[in-house]
Formats: sequence, structure tokens, C-alpha cells
Amino acid sequence: MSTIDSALGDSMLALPAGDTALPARSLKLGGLAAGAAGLMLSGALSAAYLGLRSHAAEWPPKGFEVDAFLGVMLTLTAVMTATFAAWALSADARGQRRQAAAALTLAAFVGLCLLNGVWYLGTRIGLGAASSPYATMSYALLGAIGVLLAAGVVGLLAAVAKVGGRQSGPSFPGVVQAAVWFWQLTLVAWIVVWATLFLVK
Amino acid sequence: MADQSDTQPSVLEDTDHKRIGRLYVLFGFAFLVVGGLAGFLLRLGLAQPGSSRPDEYARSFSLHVTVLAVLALPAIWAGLATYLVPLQIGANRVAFPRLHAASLWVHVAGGGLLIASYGMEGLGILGPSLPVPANLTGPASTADELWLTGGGLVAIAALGLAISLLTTIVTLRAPEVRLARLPLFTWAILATAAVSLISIPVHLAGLTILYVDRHFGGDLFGAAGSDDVWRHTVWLLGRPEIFLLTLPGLGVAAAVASSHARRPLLGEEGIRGALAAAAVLSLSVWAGGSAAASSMFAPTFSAFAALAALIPLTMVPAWAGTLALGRPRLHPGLGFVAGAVAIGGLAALNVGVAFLVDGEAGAWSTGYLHAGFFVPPLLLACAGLWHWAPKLWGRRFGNASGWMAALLLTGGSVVQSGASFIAGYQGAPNRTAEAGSLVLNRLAGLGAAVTLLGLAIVVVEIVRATMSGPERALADDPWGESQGLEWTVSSPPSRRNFETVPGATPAAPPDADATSAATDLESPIEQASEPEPVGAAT
Amino acid sequence: MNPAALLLFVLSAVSFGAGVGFGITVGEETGTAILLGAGVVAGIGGLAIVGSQGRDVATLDAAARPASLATAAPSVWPVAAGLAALLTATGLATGSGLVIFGLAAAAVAGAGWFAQSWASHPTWTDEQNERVSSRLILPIVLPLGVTGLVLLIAFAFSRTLLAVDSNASVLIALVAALVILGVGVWVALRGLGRSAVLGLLTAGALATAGLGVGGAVAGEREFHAAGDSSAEHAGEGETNDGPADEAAEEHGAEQPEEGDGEAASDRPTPGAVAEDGEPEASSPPQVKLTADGLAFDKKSLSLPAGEPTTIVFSNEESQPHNVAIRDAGGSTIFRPEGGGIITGPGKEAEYEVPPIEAGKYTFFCEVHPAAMKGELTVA
Repeated sequence: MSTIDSALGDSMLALPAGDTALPARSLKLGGLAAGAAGLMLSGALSAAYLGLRSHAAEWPPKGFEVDAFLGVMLTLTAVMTATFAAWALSADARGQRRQAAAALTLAAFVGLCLLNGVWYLGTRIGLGAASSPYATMSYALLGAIGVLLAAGVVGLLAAVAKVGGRQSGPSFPGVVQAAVWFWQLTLVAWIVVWATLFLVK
Repeated sequence: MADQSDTQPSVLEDTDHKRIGRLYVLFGFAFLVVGGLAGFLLRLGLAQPGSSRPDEYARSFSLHVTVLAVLALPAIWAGLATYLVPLQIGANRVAFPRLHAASLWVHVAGGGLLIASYGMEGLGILGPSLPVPANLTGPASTADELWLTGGGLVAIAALGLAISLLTTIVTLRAPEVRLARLPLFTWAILATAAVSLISIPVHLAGLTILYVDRHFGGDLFGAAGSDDVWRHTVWLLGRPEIFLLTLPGLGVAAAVASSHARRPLLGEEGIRGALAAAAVLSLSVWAGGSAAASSMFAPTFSAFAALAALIPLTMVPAWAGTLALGRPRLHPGLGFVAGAVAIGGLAALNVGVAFLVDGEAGAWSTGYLHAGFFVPPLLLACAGLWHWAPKLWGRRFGNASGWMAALLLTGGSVVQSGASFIAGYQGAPNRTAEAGSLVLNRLAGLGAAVTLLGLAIVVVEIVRATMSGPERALADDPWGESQGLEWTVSSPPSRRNFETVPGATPAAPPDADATSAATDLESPIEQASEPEPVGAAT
Repeated sequence: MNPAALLLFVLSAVSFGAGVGFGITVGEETGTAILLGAGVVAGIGGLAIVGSQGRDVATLDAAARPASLATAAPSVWPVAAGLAALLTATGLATGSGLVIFGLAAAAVAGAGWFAQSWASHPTWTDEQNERVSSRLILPIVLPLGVTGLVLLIAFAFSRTLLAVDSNASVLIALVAALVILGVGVWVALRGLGRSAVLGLLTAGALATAGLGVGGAVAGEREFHAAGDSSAEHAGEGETNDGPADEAAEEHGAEQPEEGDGEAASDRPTPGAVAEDGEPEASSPPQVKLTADGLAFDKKSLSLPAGEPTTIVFSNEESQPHNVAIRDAGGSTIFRPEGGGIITGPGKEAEYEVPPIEAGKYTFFCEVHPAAMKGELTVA
């Protein structure tokens, strides 16, 4: 605190003297916990999908083809954005503001591409949501992962703002850590959804 | 340190965990009154055959279960946890105050939508009390979808709360409050929050599937295997939450017993492990297969889940032993704990009888669920209120009113559950308005009325405390010789909780005489204003 | 290894073990998947935390000690988030445009929340705050915000007006205008201060929003073009007695007493869901059906086409059952009024089935749809 004080002269700080901000590990754990909850949501939906599938005579319904190519493309996109996010985390920890901002922006942008891809997948299913349990579960899975991805992108963009506004760095790594960890766990959730919809079918 | 103004922010803006905690308790009891009255109306319906239509009865039944188990009890525990956890770990706030406050308001919003859906025509979903889904084909009504989205809001709020509490306990402890030495109430909350983080998303998954299916008029719940989806994600007795309702109460009982026995809890390490084990084992309730769907013993039909239910029984000797070996004093909290043990014992006894007798029917299940899973947490929550009222409201709740409430709540529940058990042995079903012996139904109705009377006393105490404000010059530790950091600050605590970082937590001495360990604190403020040992509680 | 990570690893191991054991012995997929999933989650959590407390808490400097954390500043954004959640959830349930407003409100709440967390960062000075406030908030955000608020209030008010019949809506609009005029006159005469006026405006906005939510839930009244035949309603339109009334009572607006504010359902009804009894013929043909042991006593039934019939259903066990009918596509075309679920033993119910077209259908119990069903031939 005293180093920050002297750096900014005697201007009034947002916090009263002696008060500290929330430690970074709290924000990190919060992001992790939220991500774990999202992962569990996807896992539970997948388990329901698998359970219904095991009892069904015909799954997917006759004549329905799963687009394996699109699924793989989206998963590769997910791996890409995960790499950018990991890069952002390490850049922020080392105080490299520009790299961190660039990496987070890239992660958010590619994340948007992933979200767009999930939306596209949803519009291309071609089955009515009520036509069969398969359709209902597919929409539920894609809808849930879509919401999680959207929340993750918002978090990444908030982290970009914090890094850009010099409110993140080695002394305040919390927000970036929370955003990145939530994002990484959401991408693991995507892998689960992908495996369920495209590998197991 | 002139940063905090003395004027309290308005209730809608305040993110102080103490205010949020009190609000949670208030809303929780408001929901409790609504659900309790619904239950009482059910009992009236049973006592006067022909007075209610089957669909009305089914709806009231669902309202009763949903409001109490989903809205009321979790909110009460949320309130106690929100208020006490930072105080017990030596922090001056929760980790995410705004998230915590948002959780409160989202819970209230969701609760409002849920209750509103019961008031609307066309509600088909009969809710979490059914082991098998019903009325889930064809298009859904607005009421159905409101029920689902309201329930979704409540689940999201609970998730936010779990994240906030978990992060607070793990990361904001004062330097020498070790995880392995956490006060038992906070330890129980930690276990509950951790398991909630895993189990609430599963419930959300079920609601999501239901919403997509109902909104588009699908037939997922007519397909084979859909029963499993419902059972594991929506049915109250198929989810870990059924055990999580009682888990914080076990922490309360430990705190009340050790505080009013004026000695540390007997076998504290074992209790810690047992609480953690119960939390983990509660996850095994998902392991139930389809054959057990109509089991009378739900939710304890799997071996693991039965273990989870037995663990509270192992704690009773610890509480009793603490009181026997300590220097106990009479306190209404002990009355509530005793009541919880009594009604839990009634449930356990009847499980034994049911094994021998055979052929018990639906009404037995009502008695078992009330006595084993729904009444004990209520009693234990009241124990917590009477014990920690000096902190929450800066007032002591009435001594006589406490004992009276404990007696009425326990006695009424024993009569009601007992009548249900006997009716069950006689073959009466549950969930319909025309069921079983009239005498037994009237007796159960009487029990319900007595229970409501006890509840009224509790509500009156809470309202009185809320409106009167703090007592003047209430000691930091009005009971005397209590252990825990919350008793080292004023009653109620100042906005910042602790002026300086608290030092060592009271270590658990091997013998009961070492109460001096409770004053082994480094902070100069504690030493300056150390209260004279207040003798007996009033 | 710090205790938190250890706890998570133990949890993970227990969950994995339980999942594996359960999967082998019981073999139920859903349960196994859930247990294993919990194990994965706990393991990941443990891995994430395991390194982070290597710097033991006791060596943290005084500035980072929890009791010196800045206490929670007052914030209106949690309540705003709650309101946004309420709007979104109601919109999702009613299928109305309320979802858009809910999401917009959520965006506003999120922005405000973010802005507050930005301003309370240790490195944010008062001067920076002043600059941003005068250059960004006041010139841009405030006008946009007020416009949005006005639109929201207008939309909410429109939902209320659309939920009641046309005469009542004119009356409500007139009354609202008079109330606003009257309150304005009163405020001017009494010379009320800023906070009082703000309070009144907030109360009025919330009241309008609340009525709007109620109106959205109740649904729009029917708009008949000349010569339209009325479509069959699925029954969820007659909800004017519910929240719209409650909200109206609280805020003293006129109630839709005429009772003809029928709401149009915006979901297609797959078939006639007959709730009312048909006018009975002298004695409609009857079929008998019994339920026991989680099964019906007949695997197939037949009913005459095109005339009302009665199903005499008796339940011989202490399980709840009823009888419903669905068509070949899976849509329910008949269910008893109010569900009609009865629990035996020895209970009977008569279900009056309206005329059905000839064809093949399935009769089933709604409580146990998978276990209890059979073929219904209507000829």
C-alpha cells in the first residue's frame, strides 16, 4: 500500500487508508468455483443424455446425421482460445500489460467465434425441439454451453478492460485469474458436450 | 479510521453481510409461514373429508413441500451462515458482498415467481415431491414455465451463495484460523457449500431439460429412462439437498452443546470428520436405482445414503457427553437440540419397526420425512437463533418463550408424525385428501396446529427483535465462557466486525478447566474490554 | 499441500471410487456419470488450489490481512440484478418480449456493478473518478439511461393496458394521467425536496413495472378481426384472476372485472385439450379400466368414433393413477379435468371423453407413462 501511496503522490485513493482490496486468491477461487459449477451442469446434462440414450430404441432419430466436421472444428477453436487465455494469465502475472491485453482480446474474439459456431450448430439441427428426446436434449446441451460461453466471453472482456486500465498486474492479478480460470473450465465443459453429442452420439 | 459513516445504508443498498444475513432469516421465516400454513390447510383437508378437491390437494401439497424445502429452510441457513461465518473466521466481510446480496434478491424474486405459479390456473408440474414425473406431456401452461424459471432463479441464487461462502471460508480466514480448526458451524457450512456446488448444477440441469421440453411441448418425460432424469435432478428426495438441509444444523448443535456445557465438544475431531463424511455421502443419494423409486425408505434406500442418515445419530453421544462432562447451564438452545434428537429418534425407531412390521403404506412416508428430514433442521435452526440472537439482533430472545417454542414444535411434530406413522401401519396412502382413519388424521391435524403455535412464538421473537433494535449494554458474551471469535466482539458487532486482526483462535484444551485458553488473544482491544465472566445465562 | 487442496483431493478420490464401484455393481449410467463427474470437478479444484497456498497465510504482510479488507460498500446493483433476473425469468415463462428487457436490465446492472468495482480499486483516484464522471457518465450514459428507462416504463404500461379489455384500458390510462398530474401538482405545492421526488418517481416506476410484469404474465386480450372464428385455447389464457389482479389491488388501479379479458395463447395447441365436459347424451358408451400393480388390466381398448364416451376407471392399489390419451405423434389429446389422479385402493373415477376422430391412439397413466399404457382404437 505504501508504495502505491508514494507513486500517486498525495492524491486521495478510492480506499480509506489501511484498507486493502480483496486478495487475488479469493477472486481466483471464485472463478474456479463458478467454472466448476458450469462444468457440473454440462456433465449432468450429458449424463441425462446418455441415460435417455441407453433406453431409447432409436437414437438419434432415423435419418438424422451428426455433423462430425463442425464439431471437430469447434473443438479446435476451443483449444485455440484456451491457449490464448493461458498466455494471458502468464503475461499478466509477469506484468506485461500489452501482451496480456492482446491475449485476452484474442481469447475473447475466438471465444465469440466458438459461441457463433455453437449457435450455428443449434440452427442446423433441423429437428423440432419437441420432436424427440434426442432433439430436446441436444438443444438443452447446446443452450447451456452457449450461456456459459457467453458469460465467459463477458468475463474475458471485463478482464481486458481491467488490464487496459492498469487495474490488473502482478499486484492485482485476481480479475484476470478469475476470468481465465472460469473460461478454461467452460472450455472443458464444451469438450464434455462435444464428446456427448459428437463422439458418443 | 473514519472511513465508514455511521449512518446505515438503505436496506436495498446495503451489502454488509450482517444485514444480508438478517434479511435472509426474515425472508426465510416469511416463506416458512407461507409453507407452514399450506401444510396446515392440507391437514385440515384430511381432517374433514370431502372438503378439498384432489387437484387442489395435490397443488397445496406441492406448494407445501416446495416452499419449505426449497425456499424457507435454505434461506434460514443462508442467513445464519452469512451472518456468522465471517465473524467466526475473523474476517470483516464475505468475499463477494455484492454477489451475496444479489443472491438474496434473486432468491426472493425466484421464490415470488414460484409461489405465484401456484396461484395461477393450469399448473401441471406437481413439483419435487413426486418420485415420478406427472402431467408432463402436451403443451405447458404459463404457470408451469413460471414454476421452472422461478425454480431456476432460486437455484442460481443458491449457487452464488455457495461460491461466496466457500471462497470466504477458504481465503479470508484470519492468519491463525486453520481450516482444520474451524468452528464446527463454519465447518458444516463449508461442507454444505462444497457439496452444493456439485449438486445444485445437477438440479439446474433437470430444470433446463424440463424447460426446453415443456416450452416446446415435447414428450421427453414419456420416453423410457426419463424417470431417472426426474428422480435424480428434480425429486427432492433423490438429491443430496435432502441431507444438506440438516448438515448446518449439526454444526449448530455442536456449537450450542459446547457453549452451554462450557467445555469444548467431546470428540471434536471425530465430529469434524463425521460432518465431512456425511456431506460426501449425501452425494450417494444419486446412486439410487429405479427399483427404489417407490421405496418407503426414500431417501435412504441405498446403503451409502443410509450411512449418511446414520451419521447424525453418532453425534448425539458427543453432544450428550459434552453436556455430561461439562458444567451445563439451562438454555433454550439445548431444548431445541433435545427436541431435534427426540424427533430424529422417533424416525429412527420407526425405521426399525418398519423392518419388522412390513406393509406400511404412503402415510408412513409422510411421518418419516417430517420426523427425520424436515423438522430436525427447523428445530436446530431455532437453536441457532436463540444462541446467536445477541449477535444477529443485539438482543437475547426470551428464555421462557424459547423453552415453550421448543416444547410446542417438538411435541406437535411428535404427535403429527406419530399419527402419520400409525396411519401408515394401517395402510393409509399419502398425497390424497381422502386417506385413512379420521381419528388419526384429526390427531395429526392437532399436532400440526401445535407445531404452528410453536412456530408463531419463534416468528414473534424475530419480529420483536427486528423492530426493537439492540438491547443497551449487552455484553460481548452474554452467555459467558463461550468459545469462538464472534463472542469477542460487541453484541451486535460494529460494521467492521474486528478493529484489528484477531489472534489465535481458542485452542481445544484437553480438559474442561482450561477456559483461560478462551482469553488467549493478542488484540489489545479484547484485553482492554474483556468482559467479566457473566455467570448464568438469564 | 494445503488443507483445502487435500480436502478436495480426498473428495475427488472418494467420488471416483464411489463412481467406479457403483458403476460396476449397480451399473446405472446416470448415477455413475454424476459421481465420476463430481470426482473430476473436485480434482480440478484441488489442482488449482494446491499451489496457491504455498505462501503460508501467516507470512502475508499486514496489509493483506482479512480484517483490513475494505468493508462492503453500499451498492444498488445487486437489487438491480435481482430485478433483471425477475424480468428475464418472467419473460422466459410467458414467452413475451419481457426477456429482452430483462437482458437489457441485466446488462445495465452488470455495467453498473463493473463501474463500481472499477471505482473502488486501490489505484483509482478521486480525480480520475471526477474526470470520467463529467466526461462519460453525465453526457452519454445518463441520457441513454433515461431514454431506456422511459422505454421500459412505456413498454410495461403497454403490457398492462393490453391485458385488460379495451374499455378498462382507456380508464386505466386516464386514471394514470390524472394521478401523474395530481402528484405533480401536490409536489409543486408542497415544495418537496429532491430525495422525496426521487423516491416518488422510483415508487411510480416500480409500480408500473410490477403491473407490467403482471400484465405480461396474464397475456394479451384477444383482438378479433371481423369474421375471425375463435381458435381453441389451451386453458392457460384464463389467468386474469391471478397476478394481474394482485398487482392491480396493491397499486389501486382498476381491476379487469368484466372477466372477458381472455388471453390468446401464443403456443400452438397440438390438439384439443378438452377440459370442459361435453353435454351428456342420455347414456354415453362406457369402457371399464382397472389399475393394479402399476399396470392396467387391459392392453387395448376401443371407443366409438365421433361421440362422447365415458371411461370408468378404478384404482385398486395405493399408488396415484389416472387415464389420459395421446395420439400417434405423442401429443396428449385428452386428460381428465384437473388431472383426475386417484389413489386407491378401491377408488373409482369417471372420465368423460369428448368425441375423437377414428384412428389409433395410446391410453396411458400420466403418473407412470412408461409403465402403464396400452393401445386405443377409435373406430
